[in-house]
Amino acid sequence: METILEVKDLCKTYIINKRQNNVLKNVSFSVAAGEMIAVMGPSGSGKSTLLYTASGMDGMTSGSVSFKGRDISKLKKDELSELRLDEMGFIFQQMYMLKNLSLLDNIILPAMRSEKDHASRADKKRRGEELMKKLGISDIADNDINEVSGGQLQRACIARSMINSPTMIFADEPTGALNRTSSEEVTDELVRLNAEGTTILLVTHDSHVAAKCDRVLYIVDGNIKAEHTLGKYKGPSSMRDRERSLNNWLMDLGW
Amino acid sequence: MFLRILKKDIRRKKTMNIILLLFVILSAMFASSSVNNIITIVGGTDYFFEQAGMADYYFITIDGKNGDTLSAKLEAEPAVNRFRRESVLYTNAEKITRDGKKALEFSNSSILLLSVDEAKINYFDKDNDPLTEVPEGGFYMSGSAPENSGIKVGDKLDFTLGGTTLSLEYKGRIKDALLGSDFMGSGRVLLNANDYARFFGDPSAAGYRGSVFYVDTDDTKAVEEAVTEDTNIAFDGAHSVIKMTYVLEIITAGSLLIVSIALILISFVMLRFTIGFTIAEEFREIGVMKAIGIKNRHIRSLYLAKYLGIAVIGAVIGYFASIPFGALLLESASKSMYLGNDSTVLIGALSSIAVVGIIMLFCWGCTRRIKKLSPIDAVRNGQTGERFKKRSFMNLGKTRLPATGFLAVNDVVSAPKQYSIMTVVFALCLLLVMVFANIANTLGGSDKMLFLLGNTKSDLYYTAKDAMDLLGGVTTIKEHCSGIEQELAGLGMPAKVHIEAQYKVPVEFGDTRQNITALWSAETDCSEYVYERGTAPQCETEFAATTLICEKFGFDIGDKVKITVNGETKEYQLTAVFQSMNQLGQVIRLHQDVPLGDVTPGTTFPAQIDFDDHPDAKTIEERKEQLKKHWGTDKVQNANEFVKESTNSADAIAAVKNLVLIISVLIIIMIVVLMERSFIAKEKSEIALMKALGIKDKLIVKQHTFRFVVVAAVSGILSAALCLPLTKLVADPIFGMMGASEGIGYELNVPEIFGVYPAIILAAVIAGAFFTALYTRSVKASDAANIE
Repeated sequence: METILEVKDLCKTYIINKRQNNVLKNVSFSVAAGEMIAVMGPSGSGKSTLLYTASGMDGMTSGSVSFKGRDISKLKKDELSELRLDEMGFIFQQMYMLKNLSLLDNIILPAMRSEKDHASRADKKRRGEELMKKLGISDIADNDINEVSGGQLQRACIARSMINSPTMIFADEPTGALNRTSSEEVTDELVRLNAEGTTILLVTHDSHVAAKCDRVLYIVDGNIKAEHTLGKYKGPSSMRDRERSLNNWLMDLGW
Repeated sequence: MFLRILKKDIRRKKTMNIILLLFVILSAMFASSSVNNIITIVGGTDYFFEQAGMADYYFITIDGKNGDTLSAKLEAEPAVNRFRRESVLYTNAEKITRDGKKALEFSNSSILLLSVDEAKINYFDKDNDPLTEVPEGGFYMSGSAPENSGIKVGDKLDFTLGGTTLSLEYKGRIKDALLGSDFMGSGRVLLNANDYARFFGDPSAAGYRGSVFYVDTDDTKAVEEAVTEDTNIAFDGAHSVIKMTYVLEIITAGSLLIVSIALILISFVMLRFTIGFTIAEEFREIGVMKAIGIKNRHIRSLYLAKYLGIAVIGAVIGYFASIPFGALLLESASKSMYLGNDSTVLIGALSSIAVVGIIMLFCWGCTRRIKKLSPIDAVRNGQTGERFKKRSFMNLGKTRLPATGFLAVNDVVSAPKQYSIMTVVFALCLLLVMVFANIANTLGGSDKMLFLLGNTKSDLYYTAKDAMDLLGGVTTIKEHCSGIEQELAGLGMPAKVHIEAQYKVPVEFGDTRQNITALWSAETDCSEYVYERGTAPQCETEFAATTLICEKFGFDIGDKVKITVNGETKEYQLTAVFQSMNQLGQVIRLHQDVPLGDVTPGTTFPAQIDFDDHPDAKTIEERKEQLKKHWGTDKVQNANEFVKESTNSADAIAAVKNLVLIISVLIIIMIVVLMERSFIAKEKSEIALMKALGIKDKLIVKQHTFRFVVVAAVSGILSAALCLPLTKLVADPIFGMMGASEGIGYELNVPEIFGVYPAIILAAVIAGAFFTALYTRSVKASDAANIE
């Protein structure tokens, strides 16, 4: 299967108060097309830094990241922006949106900026509406971001990440700020997207969310300490076994 | 504990705190300098006159060979408490040369030479020190003529009077309370007693002798009436009239007053906004503190302590910055006046303290919300809270605007309060410039002004070198005009030439009898002038008067008034009312048939030339240049040049306009930079999010810049709509002071007013916003994950 993301010897160092803080230490892994991978680990282990560095949102200290065969460390700022706009989707733990725009406008904004396809503005708007319908939030399209619940907002964030049909979605604790029901809905949406062919790399603390992924990477002190393969999620009936397998593995790692 | 929170807060929110500090500095600077300037300007002429030792009534006489005829009358008049007399010698700009050429661009009719030892009032140098000595071989001069003619301190000019020529060195400008205003129509040269004696002793210069009288009286009306028949008087006026000659300085100072008030308003509006803005930014922390049980008054005192610190530091810096800034503002108004007040330091300090007080009041008002907010309201901070009002008013899916333009416009309409404050501030700055430009353009050469000056439109206006002879009675107006006509015919450009003249005539109506200036021209039909009411005088016994004269005497159209012309008193009927800026609006116009042709006028205007072949403007300009060469003078002017020189204020107002423009541009840039910087600090999360989504830096910069462009465009439209009404509101009282009491039509230079100035303001806005918006590049996409 085609490799979408290849991370080799990735290092990230912050200097805080003249002290060197090595957040990522020679991290290497790869993500194949259509995979859904979870990154787990204790707080401060470097999970989010790995996600943002691997997506080119943050700079790396050394190593290399190749996205669809392109070394992103060699790309210019504008080229990285284009890559993020056209090929990547992002979901954050906090449902960040532009305050002055309605939900639909927030979703279609990246499409309006993208020159990936030559669709008309009306087509882009239609695509946004379709995505909202698919995610069950079409009735709140014209609402402001402060007029909807956290779960609806996060689904809008997923719709936004999907608007330019990205190759890969990077999600940083997408369910971290949600209640159990909303969290379940959002995870199911991600699984459905993955089933439709979108590659997903997500950071999570929630083993229930990670259990729906194909593979789980466990990161401690900036190193990938272990990796656990669960295989493709086959539906709710398989969840019990997947969770048990994952939890046992995590307990062995001292989770 | 609180101290630690404060320290941390100041360090962590460095940007917003610095922005607030800068606004406090600006406010304190504007407030201190402006309040000082307002006090200085309001008492400006009174302070100057007091320092100069001026009197209650003034006469300037042309004594000539008749000698002083006024002293005896003043001595005999019981209403006169005391009078002082300066002996002077008359000359004009044609007789002051450098390298054989006329040295001074001086539009006024006469220049008075005075020995410093004869001075009866105080004259001041540029540093406001009284001038008590003039070195032999040197001279000081009042007014702006030397400066405007490129004469510098140390330059030598040749003064000729009668048969005596002296080469004198220019020592500097004097502030002369009586003749120092350009509007007064005369200049004064202060000489050393020995140099003055050389001129005075020349018998051939005896005809140029004159006097200036300073009369102290409690009854100016009695003094006026006592000297009505004295034919030597070239000018007389009460204290209030002399004050009015400083109308130009008052306009300049008054415009600074408007600028100062605008600056105070702008700074407080911006300060109020910034404080509200920064406190809103702190709501999350306020919520956390409330949530953990810290009492409201403790939270409030924490922020009040922080803002008090910023206010005090800002006010101290602002106070010191106000000293040079205030002097810069006053500079243009203080060249001819001794301006000042005795409490600069105290007023400046009080103003700065007031700024601190007002800031604390703002803070008190803003922090009142702390009490009302529940912890959770504050913690939500508007990011995801459900209780905040609707923000988006436009739809990206429906708009035809490009995404960047849409985002910018949507941001503006989503936060109307903060952007409307900026719109008002920008519009205010632009309106100030527009109003001054309209006044300068009106004064600088409109036909409307020509009539207000008492003239009709002619092809050219010519002041002959021997024009002084008309006043000395050497030649008559008729002879003078015939001579010019013959010369023009000889040059192949036959023309009609006439001169507008002014005569002092006693006017009597009811109990009031006064010497009034009458305008008269033998060659111009009265119907050619513009009147506000009534019909032009049709015969010799009809006359027109200004509104101010009508009010002064209490007569109106149809009334019969006794006027003494050439020694003969007759009844004249008032048929029309007009406006004039001559003698600050206190004149009458006599019919062309009144026999004044052989009477020596008090003042004359330039000879007006109307070519017989009615040439086009280009030919007129060519002939003007030809005549300048022929007569060896620059005093051949077209109508615009004549008006500009006569009002003598267009350049000064234009200078004020330029100063206002520079100040406005600087204020706008400062506001734009500070506002954009605060927007970046406030919207860091949104900027990071947009970057994370893949939106390029340049588009974010474009969006941020475009928001200010929208504001500038709206303020431009607002200013254009308010430009003329505001010009009328501001300038009508000014022109009223100059004599045009019923308002005038303003000259609107459309490309300049609606093109150039809005474009300058827009350029300043774009430059300020663009270069500040570049700072958004420092926000990283990954910051989206680390936002508080």
